Amino acid sequence: MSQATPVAKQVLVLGASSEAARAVKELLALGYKVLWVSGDELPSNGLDSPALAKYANCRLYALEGHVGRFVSHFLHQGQRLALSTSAIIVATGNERYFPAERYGLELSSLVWTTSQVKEQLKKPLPQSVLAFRDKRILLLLDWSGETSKELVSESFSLAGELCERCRSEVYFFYRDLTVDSPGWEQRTRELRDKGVVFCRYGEPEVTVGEAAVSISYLEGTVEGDLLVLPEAVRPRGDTAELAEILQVRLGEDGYFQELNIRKYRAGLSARKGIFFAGRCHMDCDASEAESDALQVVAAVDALLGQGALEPEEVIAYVDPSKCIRCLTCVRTCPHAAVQVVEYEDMDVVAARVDELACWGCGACASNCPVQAIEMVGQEMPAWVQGV
Amino acid sequence: MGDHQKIVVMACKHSAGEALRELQREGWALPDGVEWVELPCGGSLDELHILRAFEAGAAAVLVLACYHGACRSLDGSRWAEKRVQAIQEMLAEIGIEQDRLEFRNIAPTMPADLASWVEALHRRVLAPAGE
Ligand code: SF4
Ligand code: SF4
Repeated sequence: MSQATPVAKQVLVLGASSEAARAVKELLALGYKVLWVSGDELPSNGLDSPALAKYANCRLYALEGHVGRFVSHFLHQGQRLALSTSAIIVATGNERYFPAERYGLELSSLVWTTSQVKEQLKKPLPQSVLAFRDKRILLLLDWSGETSKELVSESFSLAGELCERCRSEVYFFYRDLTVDSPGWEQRTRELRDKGVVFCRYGEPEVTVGEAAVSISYLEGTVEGDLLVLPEAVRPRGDTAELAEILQVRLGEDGYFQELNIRKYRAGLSARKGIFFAGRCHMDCDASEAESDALQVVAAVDALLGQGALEPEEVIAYVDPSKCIRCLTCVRTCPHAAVQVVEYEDMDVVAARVDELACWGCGACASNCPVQAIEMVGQEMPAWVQGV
Repeated sequence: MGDHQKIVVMACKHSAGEALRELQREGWALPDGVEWVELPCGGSLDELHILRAFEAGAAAVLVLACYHGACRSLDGSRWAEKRVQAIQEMLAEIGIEQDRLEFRNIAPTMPADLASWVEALHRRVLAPAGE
């Protein structure tokens, strides 16, 4: 009964992050039709192709169907929009905020965030550079908590740019530089060569005065003109709502949680055909997020590349005439593969397993109170039937 | 059916199944009298399966599922353990030794543990009978 079902090589990419853009680009290169949708504006980065349809400022309000034939319902400029795709890549990224409480400081002319510095540097010359020219800048990482990888990476770039472009004197305060990303050690060395001073602290004492800031640590006190603090990241505000609509799980940290698989398979959600890419499901910097997106696209291509889907070797089958519609299977299925539907030919309403979405775990069958579910393809010894 | 003494191992294919195949590649084989029943996930284990195994003459039943939190289908291994506990209580009530039913968490990287558990159970349950 395991016959291949043809599916369209058409993928929905959700989110406006740089990893979303990377996924879109790669999918187009592989010949997929891509529907790129975001709740915000979409970046205008020259990604244009007849195979790409973009929809900005859309809100997902419902998802129907399963892998191979998802239908996503959006509200788009007051209109309803229904998009059919075979798979969905969620690449909504994360959200930045300034953790004023954690730092115990408010932003001011002497206390900036890394993003503020970045914005200033993007301004036209000369004001971009003059804001920092010959100033002593104290960059303080890991203060009262760990700085996320993404912000550590950005702080590195900023330190380099401030040194080179603005001739600033940069002091880079850190507690433990988790040098776990390839290349960070080298980046540290390069920055040292450019003149960045690295200071390792235990418990720093930070003072913001009238015209200057200072950090006291084990080896003394450093005064500066500007204190730069990295922001923090958290799951986007709409993550929980999105998870509910997509019927996928969130981890304890509030980010999307991928499926437990021993051999790491990129971004697989518990639901077949839905994938997570980048910062919506992991702590990583922008370039790691983009390589994650590439792996996710490879996983999508492994699924849809043949243009057809086949069920797993073992899948659940509900006998609609036995089902009492208790919804136990709908609630217990970890992969959101069961629904109660109308069987038109038999004129009954009963649970139905989507054979392409089913992972064949058998949780539904062992929980069904009336043994209405059979695991098709599973070999069991005769004595299990009581023979 | 007293002469049908055997051990039934009910095993999740993602962890225990992988470990068994690793052992088999190394030339290890299940001892005589050990019947291996492979489940798609610990979550598919039904209480009825265990009872039927005893009915069919199993001297012992060993249930193997992933570590909690490592189950591909979320709570499958927890359910398996809960069902084993329920049956153990039932066995106690009807006077069957509870140690005839064992539950263990296993990872695919634990073939040596698998072999030693099966062999120990075999020695304990089947070997002394020898009749
Ligand atoms: S658990 Fe069984 S009876 Fe209940 S809805 Fe599912 S198939 Fe029907
Ligand atoms: S076997 Fe049942 S519980 Fe498991 S994925 Fe399939 S429908 Fe869901």
